[in-house]
Amino acid sequence: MAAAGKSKTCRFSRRFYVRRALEAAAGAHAGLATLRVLQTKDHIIVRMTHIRFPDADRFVKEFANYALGMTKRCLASD
Amino acid sequence: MVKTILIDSTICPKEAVINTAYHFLDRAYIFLDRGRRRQDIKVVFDLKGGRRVSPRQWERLKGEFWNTLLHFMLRHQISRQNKKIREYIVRTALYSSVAGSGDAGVRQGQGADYLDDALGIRVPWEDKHGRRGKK
Repeated sequence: MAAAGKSKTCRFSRRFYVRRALEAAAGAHAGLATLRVLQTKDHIIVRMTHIRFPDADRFVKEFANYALGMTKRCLASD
Repeated sequence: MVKTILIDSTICPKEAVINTAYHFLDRAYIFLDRGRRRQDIKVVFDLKGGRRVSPRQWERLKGEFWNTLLHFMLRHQISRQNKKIREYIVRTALYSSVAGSGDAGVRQGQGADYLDDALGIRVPWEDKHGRRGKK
């Protein structure tokens, strides 16, 4: 596959996104890439490596949408 | 096509913005970030399908976004106002479901069997309705 092995790093503000949600999103996308969730004082960083999806940019956007959905659910359940 | 909307978080609560963004997830890729000012929330829209949007279409989408945001702000406000009464209703409902049947139920659970008839259900037909005359 053309994009196999591509890597991306995404930075989510902790003001809006919840780590639990990002971990859930990472779990859901684990079949398409290797994902690692890290955290700094202000941000949650998701490192995506070995992306096995034709369009890596689209993969990141889909991941961000999924993370937003999970964040909304996390906030609703808290 | 990437477009950005800035929202003042002193006017709109974060929860309302997240709910609004969630509402638009089927139409666009959405990313939330901080704006330049500390109180700003930056909503980055990337419309799905990579289609180009005319300024008029964008204005319409933006208007729909503001309306939805207003809707969720109101819901958030009502939810905050009714928080106490909601909690009270749920607490009362849960407590009554335990305490109402509680006495007999608890006693029944503690080794008493159905022959004890804690709720007084076991009444003979004749006692309840009287004897019928023989034909």
